[in-house]
Amino acid sequence: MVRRKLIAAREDLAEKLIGVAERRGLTFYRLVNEILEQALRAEATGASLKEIVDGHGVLDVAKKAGFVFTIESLLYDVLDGAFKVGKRKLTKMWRKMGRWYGGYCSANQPENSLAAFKEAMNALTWNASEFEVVEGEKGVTVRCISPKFPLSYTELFSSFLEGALEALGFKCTGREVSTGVIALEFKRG
Amino acid sequence: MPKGVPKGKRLIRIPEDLVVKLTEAANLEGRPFYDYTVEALEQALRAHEMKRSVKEIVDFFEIMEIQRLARLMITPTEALNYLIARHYREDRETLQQKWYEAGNWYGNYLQARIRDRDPLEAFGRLLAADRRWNLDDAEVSKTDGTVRLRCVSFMLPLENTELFMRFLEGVMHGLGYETKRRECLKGAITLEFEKHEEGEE
Repeated sequence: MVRRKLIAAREDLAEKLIGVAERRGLTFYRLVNEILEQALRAEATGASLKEIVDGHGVLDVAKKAGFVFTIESLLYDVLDGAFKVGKRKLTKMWRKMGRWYGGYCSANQPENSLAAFKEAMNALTWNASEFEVVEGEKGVTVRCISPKFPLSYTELFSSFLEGALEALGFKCTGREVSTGVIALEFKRG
Repeated sequence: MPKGVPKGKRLIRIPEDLVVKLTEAANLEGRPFYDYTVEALEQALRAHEMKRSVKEIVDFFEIMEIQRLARLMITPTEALNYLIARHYREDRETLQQKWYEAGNWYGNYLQARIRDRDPLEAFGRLLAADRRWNLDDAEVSKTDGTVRLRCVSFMLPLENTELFMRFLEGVMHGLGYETKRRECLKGAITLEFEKHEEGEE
């Protein structure tokens, strides 16, 4: 026989979870067990349940916004060839996609669009060793570092970021881009 | 309300061993037990708002960790489709070979990484999870030694479908299977494999 203990939880949470359990055809006891077991499972991966749920939300939004998974090396391969002959067109295209994505963040979270963009990009740039968006009094700085990025991808990704920040109401005032390193500065436009 | 329960709180009965593990986890994070469990319950409600269970979300996270370590990245579909369409016309065979090699590497990676279950089953789970992304339907089934793999994506251009098929073949060969039958239409792939026997050429 399983020995049980009583734990305290917020009543409003418990009420909502009773509703969830009913909809899923589970007992409240079973649902709470499942949740707490998953919290421990999450912990074992080195991330908290909150971080995992946050990340899931971002990926859901990214999918809706037209992002797709691809093998990094394959993308760089096809990108390198295309970049040599069509740099201008590709740069324009990535900037346009960035503008669209920035606009998407604005439309979805008009009150907090920069924070939404920042959160999304933190999750979507999992292939970069560093990615940060820092908001200061005068504007915003964006820094992205990845030793794996070829110059083609670095250039195009920086155009994407510029486009996105423009759509969020910023103007690029400083740009340093070299293989694997992006440092951009923006002021409010 | 039972005696001694503070206002606005409710007592929940859970297995004692779970309480012990949760207490350890909360202590490791230096947080009170109450805060730790309440946060877990709050996240479950957030998951429910996303129309997912917490288990589904943690499962998906584990899959994404495999993808991340396998060096998958997230990129705009429009850019990827443009690049593929452009290159495919000029150098179809090289691209197909590259996709195959990438798949083969991925199959070997799964073989080496997945130790607690059948790598094929894990690959089936990865494809199923991809239904939330690129694919509208994906299925891996096994009958009498034949593995049947079926993927459908209504939006996938023909070039991408052909490349994806080569990728899948590469994965399956990396997992030790050989191709028995293949069928590819725009957005629809059906492949059949059987296990490559030791010593067979």
